[in-house]
Amino acid sequence: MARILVLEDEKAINDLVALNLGMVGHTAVQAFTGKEALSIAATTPVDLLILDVMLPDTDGFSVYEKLKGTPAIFLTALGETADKVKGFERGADDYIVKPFEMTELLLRVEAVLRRTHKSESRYHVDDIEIDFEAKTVTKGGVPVELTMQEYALLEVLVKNRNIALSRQRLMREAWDVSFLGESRTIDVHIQRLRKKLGMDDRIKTIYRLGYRFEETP
Amino acid sequence: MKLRQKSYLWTVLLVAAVLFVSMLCLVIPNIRMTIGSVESRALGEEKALALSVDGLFEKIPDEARKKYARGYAVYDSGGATFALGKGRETWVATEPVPPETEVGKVRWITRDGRTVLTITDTLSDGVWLRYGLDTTEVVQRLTWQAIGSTLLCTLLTCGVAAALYVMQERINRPVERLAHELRTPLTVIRGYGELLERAKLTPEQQHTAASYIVSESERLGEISQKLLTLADARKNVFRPERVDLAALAAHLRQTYPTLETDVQWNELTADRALMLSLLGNLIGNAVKASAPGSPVLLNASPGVIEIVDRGSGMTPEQLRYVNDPTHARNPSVRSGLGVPLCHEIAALHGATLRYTSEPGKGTTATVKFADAAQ
Repeated sequence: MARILVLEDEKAINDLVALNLGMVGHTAVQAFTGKEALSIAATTPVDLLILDVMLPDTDGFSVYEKLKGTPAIFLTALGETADKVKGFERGADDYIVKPFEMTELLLRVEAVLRRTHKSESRYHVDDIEIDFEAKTVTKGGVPVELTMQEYALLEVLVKNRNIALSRQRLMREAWDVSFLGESRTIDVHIQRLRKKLGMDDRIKTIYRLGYRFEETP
Repeated sequence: MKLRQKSYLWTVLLVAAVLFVSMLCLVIPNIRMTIGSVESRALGEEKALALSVDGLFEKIPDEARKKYARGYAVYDSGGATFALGKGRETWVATEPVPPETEVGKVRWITRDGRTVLTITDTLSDGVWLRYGLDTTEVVQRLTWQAIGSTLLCTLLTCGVAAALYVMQERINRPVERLAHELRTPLTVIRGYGELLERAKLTPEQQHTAASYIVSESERLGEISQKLLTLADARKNVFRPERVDLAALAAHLRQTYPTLETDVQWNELTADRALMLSLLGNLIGNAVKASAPGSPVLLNASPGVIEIVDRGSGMTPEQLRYVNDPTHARNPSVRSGLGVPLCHEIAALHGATLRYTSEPGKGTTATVKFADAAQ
């Protein structure tokens, strides 16, 4: 559960990013100008910055410089190599080019948080507790035996909770397999997960899309 | 950015160097021919001179030769004075050559920048003479001329290329801006669409998502409208006609209720649709900058149309941007394509658009027509 500062002057995009972050359990703090962002960051520490490059009063890079030490992901509408280089020269952790896919942004957020050890370390729902560091799952205090593949699948589903993920995406993110083809293998593993954890009503099948882990069934 | 500029400079230098070398290759045969002709002419003159000097030498009386202790004789041959020496050194010059001048086997002598000739070698008792014009200077001059003119041609070509590049940039910039402008609505529509499709949303969240999709689609529509106007302006679909400015102002008042007009200029020659777009854009921006309900003025006097607001005004930095017709991406003024388009339409009418502003006091946009007499 990271505290993430979203600095983007377009309200529609800011709301969108905040909504998505909230979906998967992060706390999003919204700022629309560089000044606002700096004053927010001065009062309460944040774990990650999501910064728009072009802002009315300043640019994302100078806000990043002033908050040196906080990891950042840049949103850029430019898509130009020069700006990417500039971003990385100053040590940005990642960038994403508009228009972007929301699940892509969430994955990058998760990657940066994991790198900076700000990622959530455990999660529990009902009588199930997941320890992301030890990679163990207990149900009612009793350890549940999961295969590596099942665990990886569960982790990706939970980290992107409340958002449906396609079978392709699940394969790529959980198992690092990117070939197109037998994505039905996912179905088999999902069935096992549901059975082992009694999660029939939490891991939902979304018609034509894939699967969604729901926090509130 | 630094990296890009550096590689850019290198590219330009490389292209210029290639141009220069290839032009030089074209020029070299020509220059060689010219040099050849200069040299053959010099050779001819040399032969003629040698013959006449040889003849002279034959006729030198013994007494004359003894005139000079060190073996030099002076001859007057109708205009040119030759100093001839016998033995290891023989001089032919327009004036006596100082004997102390160091003499090699072959020497070039120039006097008053005029006569130039070669000299000397000895046979056992007689004198072997070579005379001629010095072509080195001419050859050098020709060579430098060739290099200089080639350089000039290269620079001119680079200049023309730069001008073309700048022109193309000017043409493309508004289009680039539009492409950037498109990304926000696309991001929003895609993002909320994804949310609706994939996430479990509350009814309120669903409503927010849907209304964002609708409003951003409208924005796409506006951008497409601007693109069409721009395309028309580009194609020079410019149909000037007599436009009744008062009627135009009345039309604008319907769209912008806070607009107040003072029109002292009855008719102007303009493309009605483009002029409407120009004034509409200026008024729209003025209304956006003003507090709700605060009036925006349109003043028209012969040759000048002014849009005045008492809104938030602009900082000198922003002002510099909006006054630059070719301004690049501009983070502080998100007027979309509006301002560059206005500059373009003004230019089509032979007019200029200029903003003056003071932060907190308001902004004045002035469109000045070059042909104020109309």
